[in-house]
Amino acid sequence: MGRYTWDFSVITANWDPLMAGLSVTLQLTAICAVIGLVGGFVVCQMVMSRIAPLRWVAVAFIELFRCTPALVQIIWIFYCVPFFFGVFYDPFYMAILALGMNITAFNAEAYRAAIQSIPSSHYDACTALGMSPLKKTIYVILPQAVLMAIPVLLTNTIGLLQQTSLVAIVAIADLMYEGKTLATQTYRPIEIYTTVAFIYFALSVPLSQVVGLCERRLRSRLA
Amino acid sequence: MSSSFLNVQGLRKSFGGHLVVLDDINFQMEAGERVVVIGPSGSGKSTLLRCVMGLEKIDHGRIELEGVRYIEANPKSHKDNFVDIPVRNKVGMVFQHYTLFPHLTVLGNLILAPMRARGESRSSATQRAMQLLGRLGLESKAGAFPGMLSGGQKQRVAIARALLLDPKIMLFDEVTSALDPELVTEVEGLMLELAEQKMSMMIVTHDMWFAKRIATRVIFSADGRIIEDAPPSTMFTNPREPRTADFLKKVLHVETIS
Repeated sequence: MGRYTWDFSVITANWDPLMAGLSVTLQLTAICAVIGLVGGFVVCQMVMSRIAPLRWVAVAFIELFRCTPALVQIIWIFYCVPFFFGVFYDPFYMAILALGMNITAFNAEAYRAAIQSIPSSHYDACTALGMSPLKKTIYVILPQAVLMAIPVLLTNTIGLLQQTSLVAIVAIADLMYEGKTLATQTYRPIEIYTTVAFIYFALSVPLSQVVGLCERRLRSRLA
Repeated sequence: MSSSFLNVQGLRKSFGGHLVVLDDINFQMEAGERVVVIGPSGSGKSTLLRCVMGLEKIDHGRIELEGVRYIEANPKSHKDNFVDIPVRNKVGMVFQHYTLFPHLTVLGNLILAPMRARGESRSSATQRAMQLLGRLGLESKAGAFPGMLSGGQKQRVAIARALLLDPKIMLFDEVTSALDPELVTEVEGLMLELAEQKMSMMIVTHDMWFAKRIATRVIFSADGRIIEDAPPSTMFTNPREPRTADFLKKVLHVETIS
């Protein structure tokens, strides 16, 4: 490495666009996280449904989004959805669509694994206690499944935060996009990408600590 | 229609249609009796209890409680028996692996079914639950989660949870098998207390000494059939069937117990 003179004044001088980008990143993450929490549960219920066509649709959805790269999904939805379906929304909404469906697929699997980890004896115990199938689901299965799925759901959400950086490729002004623009304009990619990386890191580390905390608490609770 | 308290008629249960676990079981029991079912692994003991609880789809037969048919094979449906749910709800069951719900406290486990399945108010269910926990010396554990309890405590809470629904008969499926030996007595002690209160019980256990102590009647089952049905005094000292004698010899490592 040659002698490089770091100059972080480029960051302070361009603080506003970076913060605007960060705001877009956080909005994308928050909206898609909510979509994923709800949508994931719905798709999981479809996967475990007794109705075969519902199962097929859900399994196809999950496999499609798990088995293709998120970057390809974003680009495909950005270019192909308007072409095939004749609809075009603001790129921000297209990004929500792509990232939201992606995390929905992963969260559905997290919920499914959690539900399947509930011992079958709990279902028997509910019957022995005279609880109807609906009450069994609402009061016994669902609360346990959500509790057990929390660490994986949070981990998926951290992944989502990182993945939002991919939307820069379709010119959505998120943190990564603003960083890329500034790097080109100022010829200071080293300082700028280091800062961008640090921001993603600083946002993710607390979340990751929460995951660890949840896991420890759940382990002692659900043991 | 029989006047027996519990009446199992022509019960047949197979898995996948070919693996016959219970084959034409006929069995009656009077109120206040404590029937212990013994037999080798895979003899269908637990399955019999599960059928009486209504947890298994049966191929043939019917089960009555206090003269009312509440479970009957339903050849028209591949999934379900005919089940009279209000009558079935008079049967309580405790399982080998506690099956306490880990997301609820001890109190939450106890009041869940009274509130959600029976429509009892929270205050009334809580009051009854606390009374029962008090009787079992577990009131200090009301706010604890199951993960914080010992195996013996968990199993006593599971028994309390079933008792809170005022069952007419209690089924115990190997409830001490998963416990460390030193914790077995507290659970067996509770069951003996219930026996003193004339609770009707069906018990599957591998503990022959406990069986002898608690049973008014012992059933030896093998290969899905009832081989011998006798009072404990006869069953353990002078079994009629050679298969029973052979089994007892193996599990007790002695000829008989006295």
